[in-house]
Amino acid sequence: MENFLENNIIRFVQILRSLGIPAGTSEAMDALTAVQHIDLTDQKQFHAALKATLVKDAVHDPLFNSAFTKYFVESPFRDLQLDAKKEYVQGMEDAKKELEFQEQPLDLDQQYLDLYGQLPEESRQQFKEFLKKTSEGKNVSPKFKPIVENVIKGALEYHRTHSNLPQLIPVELTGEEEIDAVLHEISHDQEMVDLYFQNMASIQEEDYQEATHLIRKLARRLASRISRRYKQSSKIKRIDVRRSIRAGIKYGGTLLDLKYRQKKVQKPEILLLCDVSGSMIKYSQFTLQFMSGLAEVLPRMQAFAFAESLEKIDLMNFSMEGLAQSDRWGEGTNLNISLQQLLKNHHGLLKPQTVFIVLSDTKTMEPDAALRQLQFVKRKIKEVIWLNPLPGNQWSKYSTVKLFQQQAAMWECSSLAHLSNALRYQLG
Amino acid sequence: MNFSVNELEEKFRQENYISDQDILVPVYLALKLEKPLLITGAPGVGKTEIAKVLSRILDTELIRLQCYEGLDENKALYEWNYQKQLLHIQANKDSSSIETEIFSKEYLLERPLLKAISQPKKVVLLIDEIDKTDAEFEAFLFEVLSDFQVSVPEIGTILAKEIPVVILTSNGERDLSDGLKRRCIFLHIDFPSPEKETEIIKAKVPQLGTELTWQLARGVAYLRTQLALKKKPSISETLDWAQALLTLNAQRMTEHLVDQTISLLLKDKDDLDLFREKGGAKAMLKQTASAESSASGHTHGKV
Repeated sequence: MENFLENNIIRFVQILRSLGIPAGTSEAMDALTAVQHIDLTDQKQFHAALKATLVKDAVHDPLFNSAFTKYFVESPFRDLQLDAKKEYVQGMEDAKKELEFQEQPLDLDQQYLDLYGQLPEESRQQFKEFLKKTSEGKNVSPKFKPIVENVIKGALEYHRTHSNLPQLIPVELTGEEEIDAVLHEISHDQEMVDLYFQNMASIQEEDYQEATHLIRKLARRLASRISRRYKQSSKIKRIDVRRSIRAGIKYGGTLLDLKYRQKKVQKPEILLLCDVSGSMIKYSQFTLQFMSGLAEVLPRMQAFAFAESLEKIDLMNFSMEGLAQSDRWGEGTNLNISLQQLLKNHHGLLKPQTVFIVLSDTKTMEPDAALRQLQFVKRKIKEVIWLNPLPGNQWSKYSTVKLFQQQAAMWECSSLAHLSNALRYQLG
Repeated sequence: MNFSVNELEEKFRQENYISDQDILVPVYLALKLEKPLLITGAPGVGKTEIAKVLSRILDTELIRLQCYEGLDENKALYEWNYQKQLLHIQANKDSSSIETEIFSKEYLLERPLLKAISQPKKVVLLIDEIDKTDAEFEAFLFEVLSDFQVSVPEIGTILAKEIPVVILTSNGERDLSDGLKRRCIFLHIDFPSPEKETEIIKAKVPQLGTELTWQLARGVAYLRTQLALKKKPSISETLDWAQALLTLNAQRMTEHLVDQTISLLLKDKDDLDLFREKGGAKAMLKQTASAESSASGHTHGKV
């Protein structure tokens, strides 16, 4: 692509899309028209013109600003970006080589490779030694690979929660070298790591107060939307005078054809099931806090925590600390048993108007049996929504994701932005 | 409209609206591209004021549609004058052309949207607090805002004589539809920096002393950034506070003065409790003073 202004703007729009900013063709056309009306030598004007036409939600402003400063740079800086990207790719290759079991690379997601790549040499050495010893152990066969993978993932998760590793912003690479170099730099931009886009599992304790504040704000906004959308009209079965008179005009003013105000739809009844096993606890804490903010407008909403069994959660008096003290926390995951308990002890909650929301990474014992229980639950209710914190572009790797996708509308849900968007779409 | 962004800035300044290019460029583009301007931001940051200022700059009428829950097209677009139609029917029962007569423009009551479109001169149409309406009304606005035309079944399509300058405002109570956002130039107004707020106070309440103006702007910035308030004080509330201090003949900020007047900024009991819990006026003035001393001398001198 040649270096014309039009091409640069189109490539910039591609970057915004890769960052999750929904800039469509009409926005791109507006941007191209807008730059014809401003002073192109004035960078502030150029920035403001692109922002006004390409970004339609203030929450995307920090991402836009970061993308702008990193994309519209002089060529020496672009070379540095390309070098940094190459170094990163090389680093990932090295990480893959280091994380091998019996000379076979471990099956780890990009997020784990990124995590590993950020570790200090000392910690990486410990991983390498562990893998070497395990690979050479007596009676150790290649069948042990999945177990080793789980141990490595667990250890990396530990580092994610307990070390102050830099947070990476999720981006979708495009395959075009220059664009990917910019995206790579944005993904490592620590100044703009925002709680809204940050992976919930990596939100540190010192940021809890700010996160709570943000969740309250998001929940209030959604509550207002739900309240309006489902508000029961006080004028149900009342005559709509204006429309009746209007209809009566054709009968010489006589009100023969009465018109009534329409009844609005009822609020959905939400039933939420949150996985509180070790790797899921933070996602559940934040999601339950979000839902407790909606409890006022959805008073019939019920929530349960589950791991190897089920536990009811009082949303009106929910606290993050309370959930952390739950007996369920840290257990393994058995959705099958949890659904059985739900059907046995709380079957009254499964009604035709119930929207059943499951928050889980789909990793459960007895997945086939759990699917059968879910099928049974689904027959009794309106719909099943599955909030999954695993990255969407890696779902195809997990057989359990494919399994549960058969019965549930699945949404990626690793950040507050994902959670807010999914609930807004499904409930608002 | 033949002025540049810089000339627009000057005109805004003449109208006592202090702004920078982040605000002016979207306004300018909305005027140039003849697209609606969607302005979001917390209440009181000056969204509605932009429409008022524009109507003065363009020397044209401001037509306002105040949105609320339940607003429908009859109240926003047009309505037939039923009483007049009924009287006409009663008076002319035997007329054969009665239907044509009662569905003419003479019996049409123009509401803000239709009024804005039918004006012979370009007007400013302010659709205020669009987030308070239903999603259905938003969808209805699409036709008007895309094509600047209105379909009245009994009369036909009414095309805008002059495309109005459309300003939509939203306090962000709920998310607006993607369809509406796509049709608009977007502007989000955030709370101003203390330096910019100082300029605003100086423009709106010029009688207030320089030192007090600066202290006031820093104090409000402290409330907005250091406390997790339910409702952050807006610019209009800052100006109310400035007016109150002026009325009280204040020369400089004191703890007693803050305690007396803080309710002009914090209007929620929980926010007031939080303010007191975090040290109240004393903490506020301490923060203000430390910010003042850490700021370089020229910053203060700029005021």
